[in-house]
Amino acid sequence: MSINLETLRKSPTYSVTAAVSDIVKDLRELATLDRASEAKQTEFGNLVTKCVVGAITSIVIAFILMIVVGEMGDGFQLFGNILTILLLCVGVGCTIVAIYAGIRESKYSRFNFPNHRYALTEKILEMLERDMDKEAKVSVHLVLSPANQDSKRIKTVKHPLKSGFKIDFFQDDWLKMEGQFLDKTRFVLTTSELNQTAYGWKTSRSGKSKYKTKSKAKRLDISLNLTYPQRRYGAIKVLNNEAVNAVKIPKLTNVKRMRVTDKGINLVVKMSPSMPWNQEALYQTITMMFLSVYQVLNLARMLSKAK
Amino acid sequence: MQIQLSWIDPVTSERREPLLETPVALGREFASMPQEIDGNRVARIVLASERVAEYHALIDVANGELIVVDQNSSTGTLINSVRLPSSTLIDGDRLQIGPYEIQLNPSSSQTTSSSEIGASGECDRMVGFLFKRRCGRTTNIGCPYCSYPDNNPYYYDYSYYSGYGNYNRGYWGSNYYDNRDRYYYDPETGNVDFTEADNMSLEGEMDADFEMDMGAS
Repeated sequence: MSINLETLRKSPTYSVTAAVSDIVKDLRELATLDRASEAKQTEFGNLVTKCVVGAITSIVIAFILMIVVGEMGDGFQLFGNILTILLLCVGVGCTIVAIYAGIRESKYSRFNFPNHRYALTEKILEMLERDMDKEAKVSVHLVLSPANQDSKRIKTVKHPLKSGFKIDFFQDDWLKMEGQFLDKTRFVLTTSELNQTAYGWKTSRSGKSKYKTKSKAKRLDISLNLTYPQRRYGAIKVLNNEAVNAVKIPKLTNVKRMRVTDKGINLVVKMSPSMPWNQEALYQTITMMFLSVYQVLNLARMLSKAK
Repeated sequence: MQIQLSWIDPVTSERREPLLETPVALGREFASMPQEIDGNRVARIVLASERVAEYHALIDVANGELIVVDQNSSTGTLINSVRLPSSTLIDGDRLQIGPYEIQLNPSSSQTTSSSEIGASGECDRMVGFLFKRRCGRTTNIGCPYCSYPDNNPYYYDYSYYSGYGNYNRGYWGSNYYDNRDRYYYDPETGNVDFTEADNMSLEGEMDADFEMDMGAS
């Protein structure tokens, strides 16, 4: 297993060069870790909620009792005071437990990864493995940290419409996969997610100021780069101008760039945020990209056969 | 495809478990059953009973699936207790023909077809997802094709790209595909040219015809 929990805690990135079967095992362990973390996070999150409610309720009741007890006779005062102290103790106890549970929840949140990232990686690897040597090594670099992390900020600009507001732009290149097929074609698949967050102080009509922040997805670029043996696919130069017509991708995705040479193909597809960036949509797009490129290459192979 | 059938003979109470190559004919009269179907030798199984027709049923492979077809017998063929004129078969299915209850034994039908085994003892089937290549397996263990009845384990992924691998008329690249034999790729120079034969055919073409083909006025 290549997963080191300590490394993963510091930097949630899975980076490895290994056989597909080994990577799939690792990704399944990641999934197990993620599921366990999600469950623990929920468990401690619920505990925090219960403790906060308990603490507030007992402290409020204790204060009410303090007032009520002051107006009561001596007989009730002792009992009332004991009850107030008990309730305050319960309130303090609940607060301590809530803080402890909050710390534990935050600890587990570090291992709560976006599910679609590792699940998609596994599915793509299993798809690509069909045309690879079982022992062939694949390099995978999978970033599992949130897309709007500070380290992923690429620029900050003033908001064009709202004065005092700024917009942060984030670029998250969360997947890079490299390997070689049985036909000696090398592939590099990358995904790059662009997000933005607008933030600033908003003053209402009554004069109250409130800090506002709003994040939204901008674009997801998927790039597929193939470098193939010239001897096998050299006649692709004949198909150069028409290759783009062989590309079939889902609706709401666009071809951003396609470059064909006698040594390689680069296909970049842009997914708009109106299409959900979930595992299924991403898998479909990536599979269609591979099929599109090989629809061209398989014909080029027929034209490249030496007489 | 190789299959194994098993049944207990109702007359002798003997257990029979023959390993057979499809097509397999079942009936009462050996001579009434066909010797060959589409050039393939038929394995003929005689089931001695008056309730079995002379040529009762045929087990064969269609579109990669094992099927049984009743040959208009009067008593019919029951597949898992249901009388059907024809049906696909999977491991463990039971056929009732007259007094004979015949079972298709588990995993026997998944054995790599001998017709796909080449002279080298390796599977000749073309496999692969993005590009096809010869299978080369000597066993069906670990073969995704052998575990799929229609031999297409990647059906759902191919459905994303309709017409994948098809370059016929109406599909992308049909012009190149139709003329694929005219292209000559020289790996040394990297040039793509017509073959000499095509050059000759072009030389034979009259200038006027050429201009007509090009739509010149």
